[in-house]
Amino acid sequence: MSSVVVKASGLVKSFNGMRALDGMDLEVPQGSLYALVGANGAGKTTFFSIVGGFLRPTGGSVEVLGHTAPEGGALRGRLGMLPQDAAFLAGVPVLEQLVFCARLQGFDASGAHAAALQALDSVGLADVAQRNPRALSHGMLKRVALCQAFLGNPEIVFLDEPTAGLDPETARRVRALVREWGGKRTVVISSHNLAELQDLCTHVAILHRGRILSAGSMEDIAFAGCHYRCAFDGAVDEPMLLALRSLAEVASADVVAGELQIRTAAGVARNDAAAAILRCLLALGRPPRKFVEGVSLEHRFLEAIGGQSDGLGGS
Amino acid sequence: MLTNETQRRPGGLTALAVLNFVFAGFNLLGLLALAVGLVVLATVDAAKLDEARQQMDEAMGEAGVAAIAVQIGLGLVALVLQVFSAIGYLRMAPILGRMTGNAFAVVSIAGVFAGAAMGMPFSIGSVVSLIYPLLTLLLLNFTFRGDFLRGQVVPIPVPVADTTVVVAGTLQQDLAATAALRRDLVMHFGWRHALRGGGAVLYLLSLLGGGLMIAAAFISPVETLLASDKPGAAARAEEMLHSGMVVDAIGWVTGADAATSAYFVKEQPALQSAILLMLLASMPFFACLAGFNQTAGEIGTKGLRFLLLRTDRSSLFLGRFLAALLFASVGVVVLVAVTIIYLAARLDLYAFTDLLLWGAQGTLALWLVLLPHLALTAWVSAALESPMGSFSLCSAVVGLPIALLKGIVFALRKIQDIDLAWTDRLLPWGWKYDLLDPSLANRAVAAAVMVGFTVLFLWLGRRTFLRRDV
Repeated sequence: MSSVVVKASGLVKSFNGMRALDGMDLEVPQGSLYALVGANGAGKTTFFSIVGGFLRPTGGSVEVLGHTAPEGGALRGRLGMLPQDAAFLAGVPVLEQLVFCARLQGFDASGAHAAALQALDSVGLADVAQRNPRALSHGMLKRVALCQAFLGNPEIVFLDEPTAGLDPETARRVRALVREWGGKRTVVISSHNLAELQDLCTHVAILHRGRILSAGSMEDIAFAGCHYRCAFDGAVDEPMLLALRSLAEVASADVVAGELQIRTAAGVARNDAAAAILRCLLALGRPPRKFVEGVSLEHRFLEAIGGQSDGLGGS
Repeated sequence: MLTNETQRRPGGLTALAVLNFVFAGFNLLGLLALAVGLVVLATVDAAKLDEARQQMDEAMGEAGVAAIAVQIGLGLVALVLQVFSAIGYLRMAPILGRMTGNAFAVVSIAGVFAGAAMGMPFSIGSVVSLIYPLLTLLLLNFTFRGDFLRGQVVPIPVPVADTTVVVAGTLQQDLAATAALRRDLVMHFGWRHALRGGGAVLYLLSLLGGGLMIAAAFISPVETLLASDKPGAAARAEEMLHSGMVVDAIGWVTGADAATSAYFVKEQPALQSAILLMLLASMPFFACLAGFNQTAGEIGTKGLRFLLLRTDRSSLFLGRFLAALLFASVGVVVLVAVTIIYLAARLDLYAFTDLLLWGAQGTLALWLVLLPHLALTAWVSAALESPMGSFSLCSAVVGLPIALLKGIVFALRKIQDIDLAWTDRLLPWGWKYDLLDPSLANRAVAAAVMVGFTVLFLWLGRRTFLRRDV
């Protein structure tokens, strides 16, 4: 993860005087699975649309793989994207449309056909290759659009709400695909499902009203000042708290909203802290019913935008 | 999951089904009229209706009652097949749709030729009635063939022969060279999609149907005159076509001087000149049909975003324009070819080579008129997000300035006696007849103006498309 593959500097986009992006700065490291989180209207889709060349920025610049003001012509085959709300042509079989996309990326005719079929197969839709897009369900269309984004093995892929509106099984399948693909290239994902992003991504940026409030590795954001949250059968008693507080790896141990919350001491490795805490609890004969590490991304997100969290959540 | 046919059916197939129902209604009316004629011929005392019978005999040519009965029989079979095939198209059923549709087309074509063989008059109207079944055959067996094959894997047609191969992810080569390839790919895909989407089907039917009706309006009176058994009919037809009245009429329509009008009438096949001049005047409006949805629909659905990730906007804009130009041009060539073949085969007035040469010049002129108007529709289509809005605006942009200029010129001439006829030249419309002018220099100037307007509109359209949010 050495070089930066996406760099936005002071990016501004206005719609009729309203600023959807208001001086956004962002750097996406190569090979990362990067989460872009934000409330509705924060500017996530606008940012993706500028990167894809669909919208023209009002100010600032964005550089993708070394190209400023990116356009398909310059980045074809190197940048893939799942755009939000984009519809395939009605009346033209999905395979034909994917073949056309692959041909535009530079594949020859037979290569394009093979790549399109392979992409459809990877999302389990080889059997609908000849179907008109209008005959496909929302979930199927999402998967077709997703395989379109990964068609031809691009270097960087942007996924705008890849699991929105999908049933749990399809969403799980999409997450598995993204995880599999993400290990091989840079993937930037926007989603409102923060638990999903925390589970998938290596990096995260919090976008609020067109500006990045916080950005970094998931480790830094979600595990900063690492917390553990424990639940037990029965109440947390004073001897347990004292025993935990006496551990060198523990900075504090308190009961918050009926749960035991433990903050680790600075400089202690997460695994060492977890092992020490669990050993202590087992020695006391109080194995936890629930043991959750870290702070949820949702908590960090709400903290960053000044909202309210109903707890610490966790991963 | 939505699996009903409405969701799967291409727009072009729906259009074909709707047209089948509409034409079936017209055919039914025609058959009823024919049946009434048959009853009259068979039952009414000839002595009492001599004049009417004579007129009917003329209309029916050499056909007897039996021939008309055969026509009605074939017409009924075609009608039933037409209605059932329309239902089959809507259901995308292989037998009820494609097979029945093919049967309808074959029976319709056979009906026209059988009628001619049995002595029924073969007129330009017969040619018009051949267009739809022929188009049906082409569409069912090429464009929509795969849509009727339930569950079978159909090989995907390859849009363009293999040329440059650039392995995705390693592109840092000559982008200009590959931009041309991408433009060609967009053009080929656009052409195919226009047929499947229904836009090109409607354009081709409108152009061929409308164009041949224009031709029929000129040909039919001459044909009737030639069909009469009166001696010297051909000479009288020729005399009528070369008359001062026709020359004046051409001059009035085209605004040309007497010498130019006489050139159209006396030095070129007059009938063909009249058809070509009328087609030149209609072409801007046919161009609206061909070009209104080059990009507007997919800007609205954001479908262009899938393509913008892979190609530059210029290639997309120009590729779509070329696709529209391609199918619009095919329609023009077919239309002119049909009129040439008909005039040569049916009317013994002109030499085939004369018709061919004048037809070729006419085709070029029509194509040159098509160019700026298609470019104008490309600009409008790039500016809007709705196909219907684009069609309305294209029609308005093509028609309103012409109507306004004509109105202003007419009013000023009436009120102040100021001749502002030159203002016609501000639009491509004002140059269209010069494309067939006897002077080659005038033709070259008009062609240059058409190309100039095309370049201007394409430049404006491309600029709009490059700058807009998609």
